Amino acid sequence: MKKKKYNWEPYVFIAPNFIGFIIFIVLPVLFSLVISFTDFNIFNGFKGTSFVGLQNFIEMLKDEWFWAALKNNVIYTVVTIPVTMILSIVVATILNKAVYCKTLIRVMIFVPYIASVVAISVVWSMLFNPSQGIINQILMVLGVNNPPQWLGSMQWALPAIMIVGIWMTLGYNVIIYMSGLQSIPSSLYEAAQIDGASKLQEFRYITVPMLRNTTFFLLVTSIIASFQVFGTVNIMTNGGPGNSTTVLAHYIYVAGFRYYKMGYAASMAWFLLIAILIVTLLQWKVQKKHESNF
Amino acid sequence: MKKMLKKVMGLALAGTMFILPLAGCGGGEKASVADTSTVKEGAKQEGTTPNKLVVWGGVPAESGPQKLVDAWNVANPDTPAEYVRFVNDEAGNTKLDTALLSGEQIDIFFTYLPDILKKRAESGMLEDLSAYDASTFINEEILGGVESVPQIDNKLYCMPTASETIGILVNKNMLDEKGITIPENWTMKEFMEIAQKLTGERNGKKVYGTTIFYEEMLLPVAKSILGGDWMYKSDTESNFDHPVLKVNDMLKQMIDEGTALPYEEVFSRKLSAYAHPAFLNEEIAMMPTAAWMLRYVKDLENFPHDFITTFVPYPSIDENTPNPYLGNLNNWICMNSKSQNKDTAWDFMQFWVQEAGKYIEKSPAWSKANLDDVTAVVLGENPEKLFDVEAYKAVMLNQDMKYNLTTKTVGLAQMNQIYKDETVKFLLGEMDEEQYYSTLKKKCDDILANETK
Repeated sequence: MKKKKYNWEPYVFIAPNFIGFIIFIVLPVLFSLVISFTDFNIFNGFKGTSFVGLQNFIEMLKDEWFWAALKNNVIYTVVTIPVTMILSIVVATILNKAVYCKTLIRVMIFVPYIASVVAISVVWSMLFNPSQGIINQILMVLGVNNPPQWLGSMQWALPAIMIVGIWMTLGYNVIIYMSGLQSIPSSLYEAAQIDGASKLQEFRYITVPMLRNTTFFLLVTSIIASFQVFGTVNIMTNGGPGNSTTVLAHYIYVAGFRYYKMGYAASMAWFLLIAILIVTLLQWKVQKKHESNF
Repeated sequence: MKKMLKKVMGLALAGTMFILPLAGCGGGEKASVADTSTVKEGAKQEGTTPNKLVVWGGVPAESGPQKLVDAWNVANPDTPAEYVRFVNDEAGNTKLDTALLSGEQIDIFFTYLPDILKKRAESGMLEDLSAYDASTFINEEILGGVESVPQIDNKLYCMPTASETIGILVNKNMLDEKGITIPENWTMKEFMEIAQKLTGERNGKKVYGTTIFYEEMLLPVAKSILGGDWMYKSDTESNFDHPVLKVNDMLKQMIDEGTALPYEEVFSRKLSAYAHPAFLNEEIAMMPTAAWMLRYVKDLENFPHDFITTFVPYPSIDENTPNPYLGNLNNWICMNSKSQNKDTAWDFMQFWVQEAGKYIEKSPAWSKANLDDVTAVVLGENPEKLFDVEAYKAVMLNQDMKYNLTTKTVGLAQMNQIYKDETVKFLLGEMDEEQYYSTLKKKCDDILANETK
C-alpha cells in the first residue's frame, strides 16, 4: 500500500500568521499566568523575581482600588449593555423600514465605532466641559440651573463615560441587527398583517424572537468588550475624580506601569479573564436552554 | 522548478521556526545577543562609527538637546553622539526600560522620577559613578553639591542637569490695575487675601485669583516647608498628621470661597497638572509654575496674550515658618552599566551638565552658569515684553534656596495616588477635614506596612 503523502504546504501558508499568534498572543498570555504567581517587575527581570504563590490574589481581595474598579466595571456593564441593545434594535428596525437617506444615516451611526478612541475622548471631554461645553450650555438654555459637572463630579463622571460608550458601540450593534432583520422572511410579517397584528405586535412577536441569535451574539461580545473598557477612561478621567471611574483594565494598567507591580497586575488580568469566561459560559448555558424550548 | 521552490520554502520555514522561538524566550541572554547583533547591523548600514554614543532623553530634540549634541559632535568628531527622544510618561519609560533590558545600544539616558531612579539603580541598569570620582565633580560644578543629588545605598548613579525652581506666576497687569503689591516672604493668609482681591469680572470675563493645583496635586506648600520626604515621618509611618498639612484646609477654603478655580473646571479641562491655558487666557491671575513652563508664556502663537508675567515665591504657612525647599535638581543623566563606551560617556555627561544652559530652555544645575546667559536662553528675545526680568532672576534663579531631595521611595507611587484620591473627595465635600487627614494617614500607613514587610 502506498503511504499517504503528507501535505505540508498548507502549513507553510498559515505558518506566518500562526507563528505571530503564538509569539504575540499565546506566549505573553502564558507568561502573564506565570508572573501572576510571582513578584515580577520589569526592572528586576527574572533574576530578582521570586515565587509568591497566591499572595497577589490575596492582596487583590484586600485592595480597595480593585473593588472600586470592579464595582465601576459592573455598573458600566449593567447600564450600557441593555441601553445599547434596546436603542440599537429600535434604531435598526426604524432604519430597516422606509427612511430617507438610509445609507447616509447608517454611515453616520457607524462612524463612532471606527473612529479613534483618543479623538472621540478628546472631543467628548470638550462637550462635557462644565462651563463652556455644549451639553451644559444646551441644558442651561433648557432651564436646568445647576447642570451636572460631568467629568469633574464623582457622581456624574461614570455616567458621562457610559454615555460615550453607548454612543460608540451603537453603530456596530445597529449594523449587526440590520443584517439580522434582513434574514427574517417577509412572509411572517405578511401572515401577521393578514391576522390583523399591529406594528407593535409584529415587533414584539416576530422581530424580537427572530433576532434572538443576533441578540445573543451581541450580548456576549458586548459584555466582553464592556469589561475591557479602557481608552475612554484613560483619556477622559484617568480613573478620577478620586476612584469614581477607575475600571479593571485601567487599574491593571496603573498597577503594572505606574506602580511597577507587574505580577499583581497579571493576577488581576487573570481574574478578569476568568470572570468574563464564567459570565460567557453562563450565557451559553441559558441560550442552550432557550433553544431547546424553542 | 517546482521542487526547487518547495526546497526554498521548506528551508525558509525551518529557518523561521528555528529563530523565532529564540526571540520568544524573552528577557534571557539569548534575546539580548540577537538584539545587539541587529543594532550593530543597523549601525553599519547607517555608516556610523563604532564609538558612537546613543543618548535617550525626554526633552524633544528640537527644544535644545539636538543643538547640544551637535556641539558635542563638532568638538568630538571621533565619538559622535545621537539623541533619541522618549516621551517621559509611563509608556515611554517602560519603552526605555525594555530597550535597556534587551541590550539595545543606549550609553546614556535620562531619569526624571526618584522611584524609577531607585528601581533602575537596584536592578543594575545604572553605572555607579564613583569610579569616575563623580562626587568631586558634583561638589565643584553642581548647585548644592552631592547633598542635592539622590544617592542609592550611598552610591551616586546620576547627575542632575537642570534646576527646577518652583514659584508662582502672576499677571502683573492685573496686580497693577488693583494696586496690589505682593509682600516679601508672604504667608498663606496674604495669598488668600490677594487671591480674593484679584477675583472678579474683567472685560466681561470671570477671573479667579488663582488655581491651587500643581502637578495634579494641591499646591505643595507642605513640601516647600518639609522637603522632599514630606510624606514620610519614618520609613514605616506616613506624615499626614503633621500640623503643616493643615494648609490644605486653607486651600480648600479658597475653592469654597470662589477665589480659586473650581475643582470641576480644573479636572474636566485637564488643568490639574499645569494651568497655563487658563493663566495665559487671563482666566486666573496667579498660577504655580516650574521654570520649564515658561516656554508656554513665550509661545504667543498658541497662547496669544499681551500682559507682563511676574514671579513670586511660594507663600509659607505663617511668618515664623521658613519654606526653603523651592525646587529640586532634576533631569538626572545616567550611564547604562552595559555601555561599551563608558569613558566617553562620562565625558559626555560632564559636557551636558556644563553646556545644557546654553541650548536647553531650562535653568541648568551647573553652579558656574552665567545667570545672564541663562536668562537670555530661558526668556528668549525681548524678554521685557512678556516678563518681569528682575523678578525672574530673584525668584527663579534664587541661589539661596534648598533643593528638595526625595530619598524615601517605598510605596511612593501608591501614596501619591491615595493623596490625590482623598484630596479630591475632600475638595468635593465627600468627607470632612477630620476624616480626610485620618483616612490619608491610615491608608498610607497601611501601604508602608505592606511594602516594608
